Amino acid sequence: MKTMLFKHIFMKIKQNYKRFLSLLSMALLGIGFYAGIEACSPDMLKTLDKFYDDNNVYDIKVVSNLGLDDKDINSLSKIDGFDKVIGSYETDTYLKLDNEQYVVKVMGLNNNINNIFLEDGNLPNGNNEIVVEKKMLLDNNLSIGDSINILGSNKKIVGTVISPLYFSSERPSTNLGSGKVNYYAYTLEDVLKSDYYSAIYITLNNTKNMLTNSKEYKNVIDDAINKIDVIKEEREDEKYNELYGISINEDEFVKPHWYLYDRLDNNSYKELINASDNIKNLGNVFPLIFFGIAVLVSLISMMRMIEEDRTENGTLKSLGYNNFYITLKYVIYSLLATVIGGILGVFIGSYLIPYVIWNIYKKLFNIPIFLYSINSAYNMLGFWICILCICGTACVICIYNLKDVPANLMRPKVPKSGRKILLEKISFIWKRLKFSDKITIRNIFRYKSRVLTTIFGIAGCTALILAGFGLKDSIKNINDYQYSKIFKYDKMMIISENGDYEKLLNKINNEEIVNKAVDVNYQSISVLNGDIKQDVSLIVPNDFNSFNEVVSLIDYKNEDKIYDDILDDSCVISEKTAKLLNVSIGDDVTLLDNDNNSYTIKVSYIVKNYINQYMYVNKNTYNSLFGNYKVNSFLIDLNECTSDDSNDFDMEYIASKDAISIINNSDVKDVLNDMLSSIDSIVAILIIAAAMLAFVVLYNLSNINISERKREIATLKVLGFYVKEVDKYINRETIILTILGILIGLSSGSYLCHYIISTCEPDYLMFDREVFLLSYVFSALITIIFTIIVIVVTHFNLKNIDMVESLKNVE
Amino acid sequence: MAYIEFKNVNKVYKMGEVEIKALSNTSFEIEKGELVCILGPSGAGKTTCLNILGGMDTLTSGNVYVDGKCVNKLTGKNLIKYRRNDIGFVFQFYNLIQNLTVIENVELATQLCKNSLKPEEILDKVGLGDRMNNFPAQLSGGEQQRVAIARAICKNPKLLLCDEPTGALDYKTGKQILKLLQDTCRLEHMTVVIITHNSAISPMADKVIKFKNGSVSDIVINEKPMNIKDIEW
Repeated sequence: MKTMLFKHIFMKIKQNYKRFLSLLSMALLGIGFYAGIEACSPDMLKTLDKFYDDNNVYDIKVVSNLGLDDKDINSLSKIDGFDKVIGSYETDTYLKLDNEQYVVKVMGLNNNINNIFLEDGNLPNGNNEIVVEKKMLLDNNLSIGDSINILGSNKKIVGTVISPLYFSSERPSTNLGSGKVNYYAYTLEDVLKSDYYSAIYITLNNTKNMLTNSKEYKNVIDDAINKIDVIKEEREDEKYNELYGISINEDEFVKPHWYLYDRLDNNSYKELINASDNIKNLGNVFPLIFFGIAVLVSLISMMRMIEEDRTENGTLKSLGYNNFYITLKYVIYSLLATVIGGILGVFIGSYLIPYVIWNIYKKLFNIPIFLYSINSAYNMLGFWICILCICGTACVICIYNLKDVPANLMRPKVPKSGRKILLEKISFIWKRLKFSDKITIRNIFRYKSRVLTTIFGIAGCTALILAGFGLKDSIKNINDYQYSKIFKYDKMMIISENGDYEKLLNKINNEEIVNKAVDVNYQSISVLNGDIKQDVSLIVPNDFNSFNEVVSLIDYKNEDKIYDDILDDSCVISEKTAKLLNVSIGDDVTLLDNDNNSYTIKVSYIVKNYINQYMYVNKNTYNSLFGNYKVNSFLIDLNECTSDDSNDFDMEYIASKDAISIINNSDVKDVLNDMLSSIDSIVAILIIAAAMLAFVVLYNLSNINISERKREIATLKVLGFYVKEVDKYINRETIILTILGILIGLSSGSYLCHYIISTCEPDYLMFDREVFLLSYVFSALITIIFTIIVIVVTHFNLKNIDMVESLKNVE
Repeated sequence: MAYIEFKNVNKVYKMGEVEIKALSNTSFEIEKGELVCILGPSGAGKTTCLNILGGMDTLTSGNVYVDGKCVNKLTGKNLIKYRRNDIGFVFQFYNLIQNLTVIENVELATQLCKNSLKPEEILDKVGLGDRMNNFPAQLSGGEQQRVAIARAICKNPKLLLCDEPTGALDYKTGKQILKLLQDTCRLEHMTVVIITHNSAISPMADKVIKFKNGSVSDIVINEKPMNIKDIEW
């Protein structure tokens, strides 16, 4: 009995190998895509975790404005749970190459912490050797073996390295040059040795066993930071006393101050975490719909097979096989197809999709390794759903079909009776239809389950494709809009607290390259509505009229409406903030300052804003809330000028110490563009995947259609239908269903797109919720192309239907 | 030359390694307007012979002529054209399209050829004038077979081929169907070929071709064919 069963199943597969393969490929696509997308984010995190663990990257970084020494290290080392506490020497210095001045961050090599990855060449052996990042060589036509003059002497470049601290394109800010580090380099520690450490890096016990950025990890870090906070003040005071003695009046000297950073304060790290979140969020809905369609079509396919085997099963039943045995046959058949397809899918998907996505992100992140992992928890879930759906249906349909006595089963099934459709009652329309149209329409209403699956399948795929294109559209223009229509200024200069800002403003306004500089107060603040809290940038203009020239407050609903004031006792917030806080115009929000004082204020306008979140209040409001308005930043709009001019400007004001730092919008825009273009590429993958699915779905359904109607088609052939006429007879339905599917898909696709945006949009970005007309056209076109391919394949399938075989008296 | 000539026809099926000879050196002739019965046990090659005659199957060697046309030389569109214009088929299991009404099933055939007959008139003739808007499933077996016959003769073919037309019907209904076929032959002067394994009905035919083991074993010509009404079995 057992061997018979497997023989039966094996024969079944051989006989129906096409169906077996299509079931298998459905499971492969559905589960593979699901598993692959789900694997991306964990893979990226694990890669980052491994990269950081392998290189002993810090958990907490301590920096002081007055430097740190061995006493600080000693007291930090005493804290329970701290593994390594290591002081590091770092310095920012100028490097002149080809008349171009760069700022290079030079760090001392330390084997104990933040180890670097050697890409090429060797590590420095003596004080006259240096290793640099590859980009520096590429940008300046240098190669290993060349010498550069840096830190006061000639140093030979002996290798290129990747620093785990700066693996993205973003470099830290500095108080040299234009305010931004251009390249990093490493020398032996001796070269940089000074009285003070530039930073102390700390690793904690056990953090290597935790996944970085996991909740568990973050809790441990928070605990550790709290522990440092306990000794922080004591250390700061001691340092003060050490420097100035106890007796002297405190106000005259700069007080020592410790700054504590964790990994999230590192830009590279944060960018990778954001990227991993993006792909995770993007993958929430897409694969699910994908998966749903695959399961549905497999289901219909299985249903059809069991119905086709009716007579055979009747025979088996009459021979004495019980229902359980027959059902088992189909359950194992479908199990084999889904399990083999599913396992293949998990393997292929978990490697291929992260591989492709990581390759896209490689442009942004210079990490030499990548960890693939088969994330069993996720896959198993998809796996079981798939198996449950398909094998479950096999069971149900079998039980339903085997209810009858064997004698009835062996007779061909009584065909479902034709039925008049509603349209026939409207005779003035029905009469006008051509004969062939009538047949088509009636057939559409006859094969309801297949027709609905086809429409749903095509609609689903079209919607997925459209959602993909819509996502691309939604991020296409936001960067330009933000930095040309909303923010017209080019630089934000944070000015030194001590100077005379009016004088400085005047000076800057008189610079040749400056069109307009506007003085504002700029700070971070938390906004709350109930429990929902968002961190926003608060901008308070000193004079609204001049502010209006560099920032446009555009109404979020009506692009033509630009506000020309900020009302008293109220605030203006960006659209995304309003959305996240769930507030509208007229509602109150709560502001929370750094000392946890809260203030309630009304929202008077909501303005368009795509990047970051902003709040604007006027000076009066600021003074009545917090008091003591103070200009701390300039928003500077430049005339047309070269980037060199702009750079010179930055260097001048950083050098004169008038500016603490200068942020160029063009830099911000570049970083953002990199990220948006990686999202763009990922979406392209989603589109390709959806298109593949569309093809498989269409092909499968068309096969089911033909197998279901073999006898009918053979009859048409006997009657003398030409090949073209048979094609038409079948394809007219396919075309109508495709058109219906496309229409439904297009109309639901824009909603799907909005939904996906709402789940995948990071808090600091607001996507345009706009789907361009062209995207509708492309989505429809892709589906139409696949329909045409399927029609061509169908043509050959129809041609191959053997009349004699199909019309044999006993089915 | 006879209206239909089957000349030294061989048909070999290949089932994997095994060769099955379905027809070997089969020859017969049929005149225009004749009612012919092909008799023989199952597996004798009757259906293969009919399928070749109807352009549904190919032969391995030999020649088949219908009205001067060499059927086995026809390919592609011409073969379809032959089925379309010259042949009417009636099967044991009717092969009606379930989703079309009676009249639509007939129209499906008539829209194909130029000199087709009026579907309503033919349905009247086969006695289904009042069932035209029913679906096949609402009809009895005999009625369904009449629709199939109506569909076949509506095309006004040169040749009406019937494969066990009464095989699935009871005695009385079967007789009615045979009557319809005989009438069609006599009144419309259509050439009708009926496959049957029931030798009792052979007296109704002008010519009886007997098959045995893939070839013609005997051809009997009835000088005075009986009216089917008078035959009992």
